Amino acid sequence: MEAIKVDNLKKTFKLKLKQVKALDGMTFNVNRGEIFGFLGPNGAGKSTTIKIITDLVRADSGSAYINGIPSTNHKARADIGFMPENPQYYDTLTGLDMLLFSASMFGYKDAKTQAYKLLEEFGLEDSAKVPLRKYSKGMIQRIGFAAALIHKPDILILDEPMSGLDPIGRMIFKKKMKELNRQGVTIFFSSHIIPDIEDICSRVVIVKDGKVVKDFNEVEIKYLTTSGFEIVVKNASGTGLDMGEKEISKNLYRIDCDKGNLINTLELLKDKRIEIIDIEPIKKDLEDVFIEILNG
Amino acid sequence: MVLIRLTIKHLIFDRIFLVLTSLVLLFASVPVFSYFSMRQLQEISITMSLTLNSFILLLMTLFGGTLVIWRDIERKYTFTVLSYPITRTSYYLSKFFALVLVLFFISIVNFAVSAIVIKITASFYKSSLPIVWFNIFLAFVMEFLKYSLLLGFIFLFASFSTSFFTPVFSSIAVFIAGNASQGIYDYIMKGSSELSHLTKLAAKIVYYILPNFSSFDLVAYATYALPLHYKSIEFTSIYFFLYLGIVLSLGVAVFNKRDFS
Ligand SMILES: Nc1ncnc2c1ncn2[C@@H]1O[C@H](COP(=O)(O)OP(=O)(O)OP(=O)(O)O)[C@@H](O)[C@H]1O
Ligand SMILES: [Mg+2]
Repeated sequence: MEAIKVDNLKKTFKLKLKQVKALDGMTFNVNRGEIFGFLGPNGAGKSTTIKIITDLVRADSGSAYINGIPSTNHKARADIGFMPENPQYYDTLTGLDMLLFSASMFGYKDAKTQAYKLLEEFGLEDSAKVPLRKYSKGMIQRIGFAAALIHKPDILILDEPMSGLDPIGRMIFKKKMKELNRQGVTIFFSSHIIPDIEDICSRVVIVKDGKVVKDFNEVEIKYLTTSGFEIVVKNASGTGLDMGEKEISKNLYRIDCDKGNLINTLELLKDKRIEIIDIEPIKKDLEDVFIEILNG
Repeated sequence: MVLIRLTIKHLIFDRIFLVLTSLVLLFASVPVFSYFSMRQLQEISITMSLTLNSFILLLMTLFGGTLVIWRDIERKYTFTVLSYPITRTSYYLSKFFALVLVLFFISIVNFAVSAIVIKITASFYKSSLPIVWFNIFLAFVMEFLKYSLLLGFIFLFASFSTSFFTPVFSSIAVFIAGNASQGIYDYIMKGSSELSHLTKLAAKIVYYILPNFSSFDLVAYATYALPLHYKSIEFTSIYFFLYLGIVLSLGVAVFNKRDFS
């Protein structure tokens, strides 16, 4: 059974003067054990999808399931940890009390030790007794993440968990996410920060205009950025090779070829009995790749 | 349960709540004011105590209702609270009953303080009327029920609105209308036949839709030690439970439908 299943969600927000189509057939599955990156530009419908999964927003049609339970049933949320986009918590509570409150809402007993452990892990031990209204944005983000973890959930749903975090915070979050994932926690998170996704995701789904435009698994993510190859050959002069080769050293030539053109190039080199010294992929920025995808 | 406890904790640690609670001190002024009336000290002290209680409960209801439900929605606390494995219904009702408990507690405090104040004031000048404590107690109970019902309205209005003004001002409107409805209804019904049947029918409909707050008013019975009409109190209590049930069900239904985004 999938950890999260999203099936053909449609949602139009009705404002006074106009209608905004936020979701238009959003469909995907999050499998158990994945770190699933949900990537898309502003307004793509990421938060709306997440709010439907957590039952804060009701879809016009289509359905969402957590552990096979329809999202409109509160029991679907029994085993999830959730952090909304720009989270707001009862700001008169102290960090510690907020964690304990969160744990008690899940019926998780004995949360105190766990709470102190998390406060320390997220560098908040000095602010444990400080009310949340005195926390900075990044601190709220950290305590929010801790609150999503306190009851040891199986599935984490995080809406832009790393926005507003400093580099150290980002590192702590990524490390924690990887560690949890090793322990078997499924993580579903949205972002538009590509390096974050690149670093930790085993699956990336790209959305735009309320639907999925691309779905990459871990292996594909790795090779996604390879745009071509750099081939280094020997003794190419006088063979009539005409591939834009450049002499990079005495008797060594470099040929750049496109990703889809490798086989042809290699065959041509083989026909001409040219010795290949090295082949290396040319890497493009993942950022550029995504922009290409999003621009269709 | 956790939510009820937390809601109460939030409420009583709020500064405005403390300010409102300190209004209890106003009870101290009751003997002073009654004193100026020369004769009807006891009667005035009972009326004033009940009025003051009513005033405190009204402010508490309006303020508490906004703090407890509207602010949760406005500040987006609902995003986190409703994402816990609880139903929206239990969230809504927990919040409501937490506040009802607080109103109940304040009513008890007010009653206790009133009892002292009335006793002191009555001792200044012997009234021809006895103090019927049971009537006074029932008057406090009915006030408590009345404001619980008003609270139900605030919750109902907050369930579909996102602005601060809709729930507060709609509730105040309902409160005023609900207090006046009996009088206006009686006036129209007794009024000559010049008024068309249609007007009377419309008045009847509005009368039955609006909560009849004046039937909760036992101030006269408490003040003048009048014999109570148990039938009408019984009727009012049943009316209260039915009406509150309907208002809460409507609120829950609307709250269950809305989007939080
Ligand atoms: N309550 C609402 N009322 C009207 N329109 C809304 C509402 N919530 C979202 N939308 C619209 O729905 C679309 C999708 O919004 P959503 O918040 O899901 O995007 P997102 O992918 O999370 O964007 P971001 O990266 O900026 O967080 C947007 O066009 C947005 O304007
Ligand atoms: Mg978003």
